Amino acid sequence: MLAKVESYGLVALNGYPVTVETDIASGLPNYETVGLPDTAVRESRERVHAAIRHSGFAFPSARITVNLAPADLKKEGSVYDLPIALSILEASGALRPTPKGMIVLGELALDGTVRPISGILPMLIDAFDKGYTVFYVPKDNAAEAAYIHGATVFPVESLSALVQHLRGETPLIPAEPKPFTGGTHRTAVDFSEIKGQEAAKRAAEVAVAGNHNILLCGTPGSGKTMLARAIPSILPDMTFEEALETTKIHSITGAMKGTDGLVTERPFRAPHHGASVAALVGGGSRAMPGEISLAHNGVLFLDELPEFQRTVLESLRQPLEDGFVTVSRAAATATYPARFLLVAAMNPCPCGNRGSRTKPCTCTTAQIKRYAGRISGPLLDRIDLHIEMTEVGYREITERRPAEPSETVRARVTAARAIQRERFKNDGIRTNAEMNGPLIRRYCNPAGESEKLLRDAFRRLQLSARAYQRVLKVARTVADLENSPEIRPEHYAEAIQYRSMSMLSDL
Amino acid sequence: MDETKRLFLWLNYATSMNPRLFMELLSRFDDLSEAREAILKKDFGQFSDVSETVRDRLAAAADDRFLDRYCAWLERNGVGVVTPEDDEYPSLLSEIYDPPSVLFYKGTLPKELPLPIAMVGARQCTDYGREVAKLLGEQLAARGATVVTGLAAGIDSAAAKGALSAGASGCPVIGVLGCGIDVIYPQNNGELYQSVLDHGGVLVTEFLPKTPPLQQNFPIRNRILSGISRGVAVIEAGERSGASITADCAREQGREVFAVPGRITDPMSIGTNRMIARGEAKPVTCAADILSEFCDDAGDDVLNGAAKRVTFTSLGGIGQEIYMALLQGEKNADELLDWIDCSAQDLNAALTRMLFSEVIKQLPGRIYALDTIHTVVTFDQ
Repeated sequence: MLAKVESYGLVALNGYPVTVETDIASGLPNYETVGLPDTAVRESRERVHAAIRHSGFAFPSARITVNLAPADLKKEGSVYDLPIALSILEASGALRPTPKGMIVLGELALDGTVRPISGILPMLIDAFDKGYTVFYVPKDNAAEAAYIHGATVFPVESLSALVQHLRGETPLIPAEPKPFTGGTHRTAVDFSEIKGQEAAKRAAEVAVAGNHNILLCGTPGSGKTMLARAIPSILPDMTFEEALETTKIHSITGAMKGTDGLVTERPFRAPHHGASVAALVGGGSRAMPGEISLAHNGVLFLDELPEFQRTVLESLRQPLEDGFVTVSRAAATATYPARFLLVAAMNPCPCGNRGSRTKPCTCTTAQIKRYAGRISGPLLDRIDLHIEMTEVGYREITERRPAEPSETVRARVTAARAIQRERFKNDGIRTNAEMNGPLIRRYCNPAGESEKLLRDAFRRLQLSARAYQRVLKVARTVADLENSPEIRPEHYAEAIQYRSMSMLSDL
Repeated sequence: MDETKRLFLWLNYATSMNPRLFMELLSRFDDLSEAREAILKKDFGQFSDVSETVRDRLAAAADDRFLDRYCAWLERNGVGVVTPEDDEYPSLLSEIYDPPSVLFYKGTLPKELPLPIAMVGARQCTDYGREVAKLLGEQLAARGATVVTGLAAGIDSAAAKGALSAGASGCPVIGVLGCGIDVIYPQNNGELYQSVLDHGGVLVTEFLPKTPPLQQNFPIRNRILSGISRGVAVIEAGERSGASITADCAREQGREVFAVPGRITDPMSIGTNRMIARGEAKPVTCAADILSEFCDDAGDDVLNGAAKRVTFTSLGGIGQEIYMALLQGEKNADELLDWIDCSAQDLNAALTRMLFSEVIKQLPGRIYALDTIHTVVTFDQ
């Protein structure tokens, strides 16, 4: 007897249909899985065997061949436990042939219950686009799947429940399609808790408003890390589109199992400075996404920037420019989106006290140069805002005028983002930071006094052509924050201020 | 290389860093070639009182093959040699107690140095020191003086850079090294060395080629620094510093000593302020204070004589407030925001404009100060 059940596979973010075929022939009892299964798939034999018996069915004592087609693509993970079990039951005659066009996914426990799997959302989105509409998914994954409107998603709790449904005995109830209720945000540190640092807070606001990368430089204790951790509290809420993109990436890594379905809060990723290239940009034999892709649509915070390995920092250059990264491995090649807001922090010198009024700096010029030199010029060029944090004195900590809460700042940022979305609606981008050469020429037109200012800046700050363009983009954002259609000279002047860091030059 | 120089090089090599022994041995012979003949014949009669090490070196270096190689190396590397017998030997230097027996140099050594002034100071200097050194160096060079410096980090480099930027003809900078002529110290100073040579300056040292910059070399070097100069200006010196030693040296050699006053609470100005307080040094507020000791037409410039003038009203609303705030001392961005009632964005825009028009300058730590060297703000009547 022959049976076919449709399932789905995933290479990076791209899916492909997998047909699980089972043949039961007479002969010595035997069980063979073919179609390039990995260890997890091969081991499914034991789980399927036990699950079928514990669900109250008979495991056929015959020669069983399970084929996962297409046979030339590698099959990974425990996704195929449930379709295999189903096809065996079908082939053995315990179940009538299943209707075509339904996709079955799920891992089996030995007692027949169905366990959640990773990558549900990218698989289902891809399958839905290819015309599949009926899905049987593990119950714990149903929340994630319910955001695909128009699809019929059946949450499956156990093998026996699925069989009863297919036999028409106890029908399963399709999951309610979930409406997107809007993004959420987290306030680990509120802006109002940060004492002093008004100038740096303003810079953070500009950075978030236009999704510009920002480098915070300051003496230890000046509040670099605190400011970075406060940034999530002013990020605008995610749109449904962004939430789906981010959830897809997180889903592949299995991080979405058992959650309520969607990443609705912008990710804040803070890898330690010991991180490897593979950890940051992605890698592993299966070309899994790295921190920069997990931070897609969110914040990547690199504390102690110069302590990262140079190769790791240099590997950020291409994704920072392009907004995606292609991870190539022998077994797989994958392209992941990586549009993140880079927030980096560093000390001004190895001892950390350069620029302090209270503690003397003990570093030699050569030491400071070497320290600053760990961050290459091309990488610095790609960071739009360079901010020196001022030293916080006792007075700032104790008596300050009340600071603005994150709520107010976020409202301004959201408004500025809305202006940008409207402006770029036909350009295929969302934020000022993503503007390329032609778009910069179209939307930033310095003339008269502004042009003179920029000419001075170019000469005095020895900007590269790329850094110059970044100043224009930041100026655009400054103007957007003020809801000003034109970029006025003072907007350019403020943008230039964010490039004039004295710490790394003038030694 | 003529024969006299070869013989000087031989004796200099053998006596290495001991100019007094050199002079002593030199005075025993009418002609150094006799001494070399004697050594080559293993006749140590005249050398009975010198140590075995020196005798060995004398014998080893007397060999023609060695001297040929030595001279060829110097020529190949563009290193010149002067001895006190030569006209080019700095005349002031030959007057000191123990002038170096041989000076190695790169670049062109002028016959007569026009008013050499040494500028010394701490390597770990403040921004104030660096700025003053640069400015004084520039003004001195522009007035035709030659700036003598040790070319170390900090004040030395700043003074040299200032003098080079003046674009004066002649020899703007003499770099006196504490290591071999072919050794670059500090390591990242290669560019400055080259720049000195490109601008007609000269590098000199009495140390044998390939001598590393050992700590004990520097006091020895400092006596040349002051010896070659007519005056020594100390820009910044802490409580105990090499610059103070050079100043002591200069006084012993009968040179004029100048010191740049600093705030009395600044650790890097303790040495200079003390010299002024004790009357050991003349306080310097501009290049003319130094030049007036040596020539009549020193002029009466002030340090920021070349500064441009802008009116207070032209600074604009926030600009005026920033100026008033900074008049009372440097402030960081946040302190300015406390002082002035305006938003961070308006302050940033104003700061950029004032930085570009050089009314203010930015220091590490996002601290701002008035750039009085470049701009003087005048009040309208």
